[in-house]
Amino acid sequence: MKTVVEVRRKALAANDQVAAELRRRFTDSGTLVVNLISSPGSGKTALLEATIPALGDRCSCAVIVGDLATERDADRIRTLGVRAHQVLTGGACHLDARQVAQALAAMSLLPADLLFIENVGNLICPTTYDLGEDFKVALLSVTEGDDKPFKYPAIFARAEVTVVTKSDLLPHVRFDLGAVRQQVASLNPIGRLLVTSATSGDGISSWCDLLAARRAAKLAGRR
Amino acid sequence: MRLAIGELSAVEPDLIRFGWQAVTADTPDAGAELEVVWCPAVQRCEACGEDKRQRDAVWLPLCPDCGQLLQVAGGTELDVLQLTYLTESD
Repeated sequence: MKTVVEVRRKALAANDQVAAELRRRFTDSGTLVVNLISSPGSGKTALLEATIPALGDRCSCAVIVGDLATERDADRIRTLGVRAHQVLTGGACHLDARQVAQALAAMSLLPADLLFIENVGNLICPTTYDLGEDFKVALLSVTEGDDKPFKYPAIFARAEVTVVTKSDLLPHVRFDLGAVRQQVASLNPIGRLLVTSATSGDGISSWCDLLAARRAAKLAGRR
Repeated sequence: MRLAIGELSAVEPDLIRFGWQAVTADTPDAGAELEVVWCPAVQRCEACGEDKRQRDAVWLPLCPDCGQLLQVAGGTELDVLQLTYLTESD
């Protein structure tokens, strides 16, 4: 006998459920959670190294960082005097909500005003995994090429903020910022685009202002 | 098994079919079919009030007709829609 069952369930429902629990927890602790997604080497850790000191007393920060191997990135963050937990994914190319929950259980990261989740360097798989974040940020370094948003539309369509990094290298590479702006705008008309350099400090204050404003808005919404 | 896979889901129908065959091979489920319902992302122009067709899967930077920014809709599906199986009849 042939039986047909209508399932109509999201394949990632189990992850989404854990993410929803995390989101409630982050709302309770008043923590703004930012999921940083980019190719390997786009400067996620460098952006944090510039951002955390620039935020200073405005926001207390904690970091969860995902990599296949080594504690290197977490060590770099800890040098700043900030709590950082390294998730080692082995071979896996993205973080899922369960790993974030495990990181919170393994280390006292909350309370914090801001929790950065530095995802595994990958523009594809991390896109679909909700980590309970308030928003996703896509990083794009100027050495990667100015056609990337249209080549990897999924992340640029979902990221609320696109951060162009390594702007100090703009004089040395062929990178049409206008073309990137247009691609990002067409994939995500309400998204923001910031141009930054962790080396020169270009754009870091605008980025910090955005984070502080979003954190204040989250607190205001909670009341 | 019928799945809905969106263009922006980071899942490729061909690859998931290949994976499906690999995990079902030499099991009681060998030969089970995986059907994929492909859900493209649509670029819509609010000014024209219509969806715009991409050519050769290339994203449109602006509306080719009126030059306005386009909105992206859909394409994020990754859903198990339906399961059909055979049971031994009494």
